[in-house]
Amino acid sequence: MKLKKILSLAICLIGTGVFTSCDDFLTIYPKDQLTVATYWNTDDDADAAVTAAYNWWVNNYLGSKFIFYEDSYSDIGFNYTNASHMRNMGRGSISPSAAPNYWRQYETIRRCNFVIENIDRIPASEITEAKKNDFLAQVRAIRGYSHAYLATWYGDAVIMDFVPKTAEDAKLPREAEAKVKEFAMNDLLWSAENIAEKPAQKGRIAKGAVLSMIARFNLLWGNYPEALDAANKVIALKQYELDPNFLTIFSMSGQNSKEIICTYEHVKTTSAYTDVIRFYNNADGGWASYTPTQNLVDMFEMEDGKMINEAGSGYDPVHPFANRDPRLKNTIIYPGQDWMGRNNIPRILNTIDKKLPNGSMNKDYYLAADNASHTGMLWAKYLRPNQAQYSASMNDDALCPIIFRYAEILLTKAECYVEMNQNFQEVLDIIDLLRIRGGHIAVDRTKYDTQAKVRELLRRERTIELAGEGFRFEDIVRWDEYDANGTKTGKKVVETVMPGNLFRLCGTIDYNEPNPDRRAVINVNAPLEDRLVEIRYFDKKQFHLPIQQTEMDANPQLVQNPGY
Amino acid sequence: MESLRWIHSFRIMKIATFFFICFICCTHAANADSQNEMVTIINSNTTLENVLNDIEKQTDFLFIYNKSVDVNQKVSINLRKAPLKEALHHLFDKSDVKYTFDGSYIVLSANKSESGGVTLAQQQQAQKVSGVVTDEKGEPLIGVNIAEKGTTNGTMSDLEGKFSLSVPNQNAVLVFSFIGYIQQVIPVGNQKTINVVLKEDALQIDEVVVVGYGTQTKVNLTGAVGVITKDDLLNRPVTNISSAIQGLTPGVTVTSGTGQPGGDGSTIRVRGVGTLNTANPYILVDGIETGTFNTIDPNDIESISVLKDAASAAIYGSKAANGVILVTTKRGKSGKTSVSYSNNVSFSNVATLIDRMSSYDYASLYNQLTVQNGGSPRFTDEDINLFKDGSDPYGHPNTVWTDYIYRTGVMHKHNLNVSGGSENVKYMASVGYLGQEGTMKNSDRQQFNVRSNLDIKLSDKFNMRTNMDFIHNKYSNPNASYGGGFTQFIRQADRMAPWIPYKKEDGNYGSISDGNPAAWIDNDARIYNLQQNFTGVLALDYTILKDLTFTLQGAYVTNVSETKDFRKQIWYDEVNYHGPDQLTETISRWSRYTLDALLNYSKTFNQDHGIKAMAGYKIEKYDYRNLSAFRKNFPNSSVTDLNSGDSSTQTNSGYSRELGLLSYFGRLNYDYKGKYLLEADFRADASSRFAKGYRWGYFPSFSAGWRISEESFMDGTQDWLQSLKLRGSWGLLGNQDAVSEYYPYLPTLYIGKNYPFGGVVKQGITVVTHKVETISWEKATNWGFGFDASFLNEFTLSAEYYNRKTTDIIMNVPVSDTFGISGTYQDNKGSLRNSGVELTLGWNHSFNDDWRMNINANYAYNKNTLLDLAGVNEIIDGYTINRVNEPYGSFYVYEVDGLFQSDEEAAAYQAQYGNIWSAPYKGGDFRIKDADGDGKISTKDRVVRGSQQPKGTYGVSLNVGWKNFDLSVLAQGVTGVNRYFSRDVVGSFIGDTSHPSTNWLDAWSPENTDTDWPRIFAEENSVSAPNKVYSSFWCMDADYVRIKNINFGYTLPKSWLSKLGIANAKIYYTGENLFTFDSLPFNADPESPSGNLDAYPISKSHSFGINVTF
Repeated sequence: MKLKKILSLAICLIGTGVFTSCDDFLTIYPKDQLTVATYWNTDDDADAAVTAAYNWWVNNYLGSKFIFYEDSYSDIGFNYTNASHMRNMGRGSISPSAAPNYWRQYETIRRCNFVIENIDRIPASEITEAKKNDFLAQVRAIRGYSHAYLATWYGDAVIMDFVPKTAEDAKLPREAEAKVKEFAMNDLLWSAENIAEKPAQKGRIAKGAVLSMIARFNLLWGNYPEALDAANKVIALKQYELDPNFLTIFSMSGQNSKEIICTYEHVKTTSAYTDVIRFYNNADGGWASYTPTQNLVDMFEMEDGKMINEAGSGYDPVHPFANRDPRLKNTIIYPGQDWMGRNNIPRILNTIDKKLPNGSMNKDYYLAADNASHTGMLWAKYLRPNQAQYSASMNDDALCPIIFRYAEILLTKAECYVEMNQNFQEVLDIIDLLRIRGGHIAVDRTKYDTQAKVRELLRRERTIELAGEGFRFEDIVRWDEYDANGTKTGKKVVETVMPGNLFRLCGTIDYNEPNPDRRAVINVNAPLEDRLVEIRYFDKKQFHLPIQQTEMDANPQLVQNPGY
Repeated sequence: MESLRWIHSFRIMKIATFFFICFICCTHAANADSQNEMVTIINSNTTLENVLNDIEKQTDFLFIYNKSVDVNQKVSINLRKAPLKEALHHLFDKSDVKYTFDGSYIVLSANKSESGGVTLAQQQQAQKVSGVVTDEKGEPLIGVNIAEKGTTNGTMSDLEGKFSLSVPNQNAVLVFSFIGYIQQVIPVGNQKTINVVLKEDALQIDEVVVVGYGTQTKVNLTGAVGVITKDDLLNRPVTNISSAIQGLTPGVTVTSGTGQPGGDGSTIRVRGVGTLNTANPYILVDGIETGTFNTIDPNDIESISVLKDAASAAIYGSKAANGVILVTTKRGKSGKTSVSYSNNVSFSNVATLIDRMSSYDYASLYNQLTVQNGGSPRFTDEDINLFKDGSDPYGHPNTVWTDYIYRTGVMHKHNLNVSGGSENVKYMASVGYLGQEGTMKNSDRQQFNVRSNLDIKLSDKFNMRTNMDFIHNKYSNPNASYGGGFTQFIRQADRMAPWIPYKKEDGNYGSISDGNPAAWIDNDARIYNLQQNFTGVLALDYTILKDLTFTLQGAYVTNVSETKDFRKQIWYDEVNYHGPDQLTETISRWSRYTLDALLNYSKTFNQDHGIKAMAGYKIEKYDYRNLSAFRKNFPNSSVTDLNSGDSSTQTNSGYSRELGLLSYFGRLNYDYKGKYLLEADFRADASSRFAKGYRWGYFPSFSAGWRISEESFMDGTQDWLQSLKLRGSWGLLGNQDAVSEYYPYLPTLYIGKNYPFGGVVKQGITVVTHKVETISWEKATNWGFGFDASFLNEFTLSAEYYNRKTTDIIMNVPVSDTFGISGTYQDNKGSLRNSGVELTLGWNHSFNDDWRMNINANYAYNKNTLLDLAGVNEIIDGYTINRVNEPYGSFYVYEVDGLFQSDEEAAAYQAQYGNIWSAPYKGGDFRIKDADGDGKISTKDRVVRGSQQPKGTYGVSLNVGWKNFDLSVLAQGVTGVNRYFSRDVVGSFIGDTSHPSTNWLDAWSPENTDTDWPRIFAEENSVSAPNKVYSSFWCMDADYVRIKNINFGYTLPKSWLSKLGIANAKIYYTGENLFTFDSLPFNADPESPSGNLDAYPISKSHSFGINVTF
């Protein structure tokens, strides 16, 4: 009888499953995800969606390290490892299947559109108009920045101003470059009008950052009056000032400097900056992934303001670092400098001798290992004052790379004046501010008295001030080349400075020399092959990035940039 | 219950009380009818008592007898649906027992007069014959029926195969018969000892095959079912059955897994890849879904059935589209307890390692290349000399990195199996242990498993079965200081330059950015894994009516998986560091609850019409839970529990998932005179994976067979054609597991696209995936036909054609970046077809009593064609392409048309055809073919070239036996397969982070032009680089033949063993993966799952084992 009971019980169980609760049984929802239909109820919901738009907003492909990579596309930087095809950029060997993919920026754009399309679903009682506008202004700033970035790197680009419902909806053709720029600027201008004056927390985009975007992109695009206007508005905010200590702003201790307008934020462990290991040299456990080049060294003036190739400059190619613009040693870590390495034992940095005085192999020798700086130098920004400011693993740090800082704004203003052919005095005043802050002397006003000369100076100063921060490649792509008479050659600067041999210095370190700037003794007769870092090519097609082959395959509407 | 006990007590009553009882009982025995009662008794070797019990169960009659009737005598009877009287006639007609009907009773009595009638003369001539019955291998056959022809005189062989029988005179003829063996007839003559060797019956007419929710005799099968028996799996040192079934049955393509302890499962594909998604077959052990072979000890397996077509698999509906594999475990049989023990010790080494350059060769060529490119040589002549003479092992080493991470692996396996039982309770219990040290250092495994299968007869109406299985699998693998497990070791050992020392003179390690794998081995950081799986099954059979059975089966499977990923910090020297110590501990568990209810009906009408019907209902619930925690900065590397990490660094995560499945199913079999066979199956499934309205899937199938050899017009062929069956089928299957996501239709928001504001991480929520609400089942329509034949007594041949079209394939539809979600989304968009043929040929032959052999060969050809891809013509992913009308996952590469023989030739070519790679052509580079003939080289010049899925697969097994020795060889191979080998396989000339293979010694140079190997080049600075330009050169033919297994065994003679109380013992040697034949230019595993060869390599092993039965 017992068995029969079990049986009837089991049949009941089946019956229950079948007839009463079939749908209940089969309708299951995840307990860790929200559904779109039930979202958008409070201002917290909006805030979380806005936050998601910030995730990797500066560059969806590389994150915040993009600023370090982008200079290695140019004549002042070098990347050895070819991570993310960066080296291909520098040596001119990019192709649609081997190039940086900034096109991925649309991921960020979608997140912005998600907020823009849905924020009105939040009941008015749950969000104030002011808050709503500020949220909208933040995401429109990011959306504008993203489109502007795309137009800068690709030219024509797809404009995404909605959340595509289906994948087909997103397969759109590229719009003309001008139209994309207009769309981007429209977003940024609206944002500047509606966004908070000051960020509620560090890391949020506020008025200063948006105006900086407007200034930067207008400058890159040659819209000087608009760039000037935005730069002036940033200055008028009176929130920012030049930091008296140039190097500190790039160290962990200088993260709250008033010169900083906007950073990409990191905190340890949960949202860390993971690539410090790429900064340092081999002997200190680093990978020396991006390094400055001799081209940059040569741009610095002598102590007395003369260029190295100027008559009477006193430049000694055997001691190229001696008697130079003091900013050189704060921009580039070159052989001979006193250095506090990984183990906190002071040493003289030596990248040019194969063996150290004690006879051991020199790990920093530029050919000692893949991870030794192949140009023999390192960037000073973010590396100084020491390695101890970062985690031992060099991959878990609260380093916040600076995206916009006040010096750039000043330089933008100056460049606008130059290109608009006006206010040269103010240009030189601005340049002096930066030179003197860096320990150099003021500009010799008698030397820089024409637009051509001021332009030349301004470009050099801009490169020097912003070196290592990712500006150079886009600058040399946009800058028209002028001949000695100040007339356009019809070429862009990049076409002249990029192709050819990239050289390093060869020589030895004189350990008995007390002056760090004179310790490197360069062998000016070193054979070419010893000095060669790589041979670089440049083709006009590289004015713009290629669209990835995968993207070309995925969206038949796209037309590839010429040359690829 | 009351009445049951009564019957039992009744049987032992003395004849003295008979009449009284009879009187009582007659009153309610009115409808017992000896004319219409039918009985089926298939019981060749049993006691008379058992047969009487059987008849009592099947009829309304009861037997009454006294002591004079010897109910313990052995009888042999084989009747199907025979009238009761016929049965009694068989049983007693030629014996000394008389039977009479009395109402519902049958009274048995000894017939004294006849037994007393033996004449004196007969007795004098009577003689005793004894002997031993063995099989071809010399192993004793237990329970062989030995009968004197034309009489009921007979006996059975005992546990040692011995028998003894008295025969009346020398004219007697003995018949030896045993299921599965060919009957032998031997005249006695004046022999006193007759030793008989019975040959296996290759035709196995009565072989029973396990099919979905039941069994079927092989002759009556109408679907395509591949069968693997325990004999095919014996004596191999494999730890995972998935590897052991390779090459055994056609249409089942097994790609060898890896040699990783605890992670050595192989990939199984039944009849090609039928979907763009998970194409794993549905695996069930004793009817319970496991989805994997990892949870079963190969020693516990009785048989494996592979259901290949819709006809056989449709009963599993929505989970069956990729084929179904049914594993049946051993169960107890009534009789003496049998104890068997087996063990195996194996020694294994990595089967394939690429030959790489010495540091001298590499440094010389590296210098040469740097100079060519205008730079200065990295190494001085002195350096080169030191590399050459090896006198400075620290400064100028020649490090063979693989020596530091691989070793000889040792494995030992043990299994103890106890089985037996009585009439009412049968049991099988087994325990197994496996200890393994992998071929990679710091990898090991301990597995412990226990299984008990119990069959209990509760009453005449109720039967109960329980299975309980527990497996504990603990394994570990080495871990790099920054994680990544063994893959990092293989990758780094393959790419680190030989001039980097393992250790320097001062004891510091040499290292590159990615560290030093040998240092991690010394550091002994590991990823520890623990898997525990418990399966519990309880089933009840209730015989409602004679022909109708109800079965209820409940099962609970739970699996706990723990991973402890500990990364130890390491200072390679004073400055090179990876760390800090960190731990990620993940615990996940899943449980599956299933309830099956089945009704089975089986009846034969008018002796000619056999009907079997089955109806079922199934409900299934699955839940999954995952919890993960992290901390770093441990006080030192020896305290490895989470608590000891720095709590300020902790993070954690967790989630749960659920699935529900509801099914109805049924099957109908009909056969007419065993000649015409029909089967229909139907299943309806509803899954919680899909939205309401898209949930239900309906999966019918039909199949038919014609045993043409049973037709009367085929009578003339009987002497050479033993059987021939034609069969065909059509059916529809579903593939629910195509979607790995649990809620693929539900648009959800992702929580965790965070960003820190003011130093505090704020949660970011947004949409990162795209969902299509209409997503539903993938459907596979199958049809096929074939035949099974056996001929010339020794041969079997099967052949079939199949065609499977999968539609509504859930595709990862690629999206453009502008869509703004990374990757892809899923929708029912694709369709593809697999069609092919399968052939199996067997030959079983004994030359004489000492020599025997059999060969089994199988071959399968599969053609895979994509028919639709979400409306687009092609989807390109790196070097693979999915293109309509081409096979799934084809390689898509530029065609190489030889090498440029000079820089001038290269420059001329570039001038003519252009160059899209920003790497100028030079002498020794690949000449890329202008495949589309448009006069320039562009991305349109890529061509489809083969795929990683083989077109042809074959296996040949050869068994040869001589007396007590056995030799078997299993060879397995594939044809029509390609592999793309990427950069780390052959290395390149980057510097510290590459170790070129010796192939480059034959690289093109102006001095060495008679070669097809391209020039050496720096990194990816040439069109010849495998990661720069995907070209046909690197997409190599990977056809191979592999001697999977060689087994040599010796069965110890009985005469030695009987003194030790051992029934049977065998020792053997087995070699696995000893030889591989392929055309690759380097020693790579053609089956490796990764084009980078960074999977744990498979092993070549030698092992020794013993099997003992007590």
